[in-house]
Amino acid sequence: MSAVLTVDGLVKHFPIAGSRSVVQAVNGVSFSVAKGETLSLVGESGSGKTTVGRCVLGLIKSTDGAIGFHGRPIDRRRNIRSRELRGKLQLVFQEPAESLDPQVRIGNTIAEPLRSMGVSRPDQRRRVREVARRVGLRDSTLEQFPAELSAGQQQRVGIARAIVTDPELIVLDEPTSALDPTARAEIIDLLIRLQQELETAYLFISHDLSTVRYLSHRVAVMYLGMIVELGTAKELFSHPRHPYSVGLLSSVLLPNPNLKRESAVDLAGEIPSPIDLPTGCYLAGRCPFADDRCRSEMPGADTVAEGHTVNCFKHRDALRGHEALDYFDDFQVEAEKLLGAGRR
Amino acid sequence: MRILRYIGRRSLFIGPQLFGIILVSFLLVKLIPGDPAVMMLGPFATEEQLAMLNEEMGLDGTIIDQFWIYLQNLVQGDLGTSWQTTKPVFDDLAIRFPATLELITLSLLLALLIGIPLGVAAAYFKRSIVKKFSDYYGLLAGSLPDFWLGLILIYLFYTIMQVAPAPLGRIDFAVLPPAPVTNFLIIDSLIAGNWQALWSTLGHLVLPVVTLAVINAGPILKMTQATMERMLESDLIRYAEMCGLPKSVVIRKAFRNSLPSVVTIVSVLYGFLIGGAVLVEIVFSWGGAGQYAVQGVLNADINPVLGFVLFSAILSLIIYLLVDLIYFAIDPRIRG
Repeated sequence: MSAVLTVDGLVKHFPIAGSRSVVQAVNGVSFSVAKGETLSLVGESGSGKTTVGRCVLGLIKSTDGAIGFHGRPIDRRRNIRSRELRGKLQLVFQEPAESLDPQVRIGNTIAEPLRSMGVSRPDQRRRVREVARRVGLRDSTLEQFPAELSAGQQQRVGIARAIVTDPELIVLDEPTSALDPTARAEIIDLLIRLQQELETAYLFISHDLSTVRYLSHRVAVMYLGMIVELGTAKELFSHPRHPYSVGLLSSVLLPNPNLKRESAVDLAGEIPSPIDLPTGCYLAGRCPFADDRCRSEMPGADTVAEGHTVNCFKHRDALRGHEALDYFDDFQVEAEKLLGAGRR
Repeated sequence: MRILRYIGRRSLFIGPQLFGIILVSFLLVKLIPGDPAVMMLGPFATEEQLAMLNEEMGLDGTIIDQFWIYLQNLVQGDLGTSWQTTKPVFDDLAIRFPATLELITLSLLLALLIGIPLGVAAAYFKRSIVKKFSDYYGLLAGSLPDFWLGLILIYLFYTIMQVAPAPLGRIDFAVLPPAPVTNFLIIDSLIAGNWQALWSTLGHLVLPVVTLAVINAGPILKMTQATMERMLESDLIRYAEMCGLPKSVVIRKAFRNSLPSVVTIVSVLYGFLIGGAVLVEIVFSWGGAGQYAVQGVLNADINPVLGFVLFSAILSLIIYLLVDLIYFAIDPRIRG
């Protein structure tokens, strides 16, 4: 499998007006996404996952690091806007209602990305009808305005608009977090089906772990602008190694009171400010396993299994306390239950 | 279809709304101290004369009685008489309202021409000189009194440069005004084919229109800029940009989505200016409706005041109805 997208040592600092310090939104993130693969970025708000998505599309200029699309760089000059990459990279927004022009009929909204690609009108129309059917929109819907559609349908329009150009990579920026559970399940199903049919690579940005578990091949856990753990969804959800991942996974409330959600990792305190980050591991102040080394030295990536890396000195301790809990199966079962609800 | 039903439903409320407005303004006007009889007869009038005049004018009854009389007359289209002009209020307003409307309509059109392009440019070119300029402009327009600007303009263009006509009304005394049809001097001159009158009217309009437009372009500019800025940051515009659509298309798209709030601010300004242009009217001796009403208030001349309130209310209702129709036209979310 060749990588569609490679991100290497991505750094993004936002300057603060009237100050010499910066907000360190992303601090050296590296990953790759292969054809037909879904990589999820998970983390709390402020962990930098959306910023990574924006940098990948070239919407904001990265401070350092390299982003490659099929091995060739994406930057301020060569990005989603440039003719060469137009249509190859796509984006689906979190709020479907706000990303669709209320004044424009659905059919024309879906055709929008084609307009600047030199596609003839009849071809546009044919293509729009084709993708509309593909995402489950009726032909009559194409004549309607966004406000006449439900949120779920609006998001289908957002997805139709993204796949209309036959992209190789779609950045999905929390595409389901504004939807109710039924609509969410339908959209997730749709995304999975489309990926199987079109072999599109997804960069899925979310904090909704059950959704992430359900559709990701690999998962990257982000904390304060860094990937602290990266592995296959199965590995990561069944044997989380990083104390932060463990804490994050155990913090999810699954709607099943019989599941034990005990955890030895109790992350106390607040996230440090991304303006002045501590030396050493950023989690040290909140981590029950932290020792002096954690506080003074930044842990590098440690490969614990094939394709599973953890940035932690103490990941063995974290794992030991947790071997009994198999989050993966819990999530599997619950996610099936939850997301299966919307399936016909 | 929907729109007809909507207009029908709206019209049902016009009656009660007008009644409420008349009732409240009647009571409020009655609260203003001052006895019209004293004003009319002067300081040497005797008690009997005053009582007689009060009885004659129906001012001896209770407020309820007076209101009832007013309503009865109103239904017959009689707004009473102004004791200052000794003419029926309706006839007075039929001349003065068009004077004000002509002035503020043209002013707002010019204000739109100034405010919208500046607002759009300031929102789009965030770090440009245009943005700086429009920031200062907004601040100045918000803080300068309009009558003061009017006086400055008169001083510059009439007194010093002598290019503007004297600020004494809507048309030169020496020019024969066109036969009154609508009482809008521009329209009447056109109907009569009286070019001299048209020219004179336009000349007299320039300074007051510029005065009001320069001041009122401020809020229009600010509203356009703020809405456009928000729009340009929105997901839908960001997406259009990402698709590589040309700048002009993106700006037009953003502007179309900002239009409703611009329409709103214009309708608010229009309603406000009917009475709010009064200081400028006074500066230019315009003889408009606001000036008429203020003189009524100052001289305990109630009928002109009430007539003005009623006319303004009806006009405002018409404007708001028009605005709703414009919303229907520009926003598919309402059209449904």
